[in-house]
Amino acid sequence: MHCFRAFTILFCIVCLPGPVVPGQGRVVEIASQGKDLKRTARRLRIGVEQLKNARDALQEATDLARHSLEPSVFSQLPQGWIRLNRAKSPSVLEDLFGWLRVSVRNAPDAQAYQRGSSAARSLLSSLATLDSERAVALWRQWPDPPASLGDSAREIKEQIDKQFAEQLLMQSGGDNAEEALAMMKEQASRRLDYSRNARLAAQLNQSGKKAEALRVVDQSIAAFQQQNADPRSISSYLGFVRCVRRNWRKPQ
Amino acid sequence: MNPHPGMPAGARVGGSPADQLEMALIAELALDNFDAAMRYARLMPDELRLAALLRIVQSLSQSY
Repeated sequence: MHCFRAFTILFCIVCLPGPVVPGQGRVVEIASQGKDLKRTARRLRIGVEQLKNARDALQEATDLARHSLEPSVFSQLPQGWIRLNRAKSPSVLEDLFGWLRVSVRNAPDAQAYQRGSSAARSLLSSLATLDSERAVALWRQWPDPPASLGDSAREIKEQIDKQFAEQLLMQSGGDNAEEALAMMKEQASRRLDYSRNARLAAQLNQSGKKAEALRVVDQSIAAFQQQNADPRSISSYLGFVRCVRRNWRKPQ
Repeated sequence: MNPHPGMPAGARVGGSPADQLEMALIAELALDNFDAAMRYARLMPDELRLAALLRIVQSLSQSY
């Protein structure tokens, strides 16, 4: 009898599910946050309380940054988030990007558009260190300048497009090369830029896509033959030839 | 050399040398008395407050 009772008690302990504690999921979440806090503090070699304070200040700065279009702020904030709270940083950066996108859509002048676009570029360059595909996808959603701002604003957009692709290419030792090359190809099809084409061809060649690289070179040569020669395009083409020669030199 | 690894050198926002000194002092204060530093920063105008908060973040995320 004693044996049967002992067996029943043991069965209840082992097999029956434990009591459902309200808010148990929240307890787990807090415990995981605590672990993350400790881990980050150890990595940064600072105290947990100090890290908590730094995160609070960063959150307040982020909320305040929504009133600013200062590009330097948008390069400091993402780096701070990635350093202090890596887990939360993608959502915060996307949120800030969304805010910037809305704010430039109605930019009153080309300067405001440029400031917003530069801020977004800084932000996404940091995001690219976490998730380059997402950063490129977000950049593709970046609005064109309002038509009322004219050609100068469109040139600013092209310039910033180019800077973003090149920055992406240089970042993290070429890990983002695929995304950057895709962006540069798109840009090359929109506007002729010999120096960009030379860099694109060099990158394609280095990543083993020789046929594609040669196609870019051929297209650039054909475009130059059809173009009216002015000093600027001749000088740019000369840079292209030098770059191609440097990258395709036969081994001695 | 950038004294704050992971952050670009020097906040561009927050103009004059006097402002810069004030922000550097707030950032130092944050190490000893975070609440007092934040209370002080919250009294500043928006642009300076942003720069001050960023300096506080830099200061706190530095190991000694």
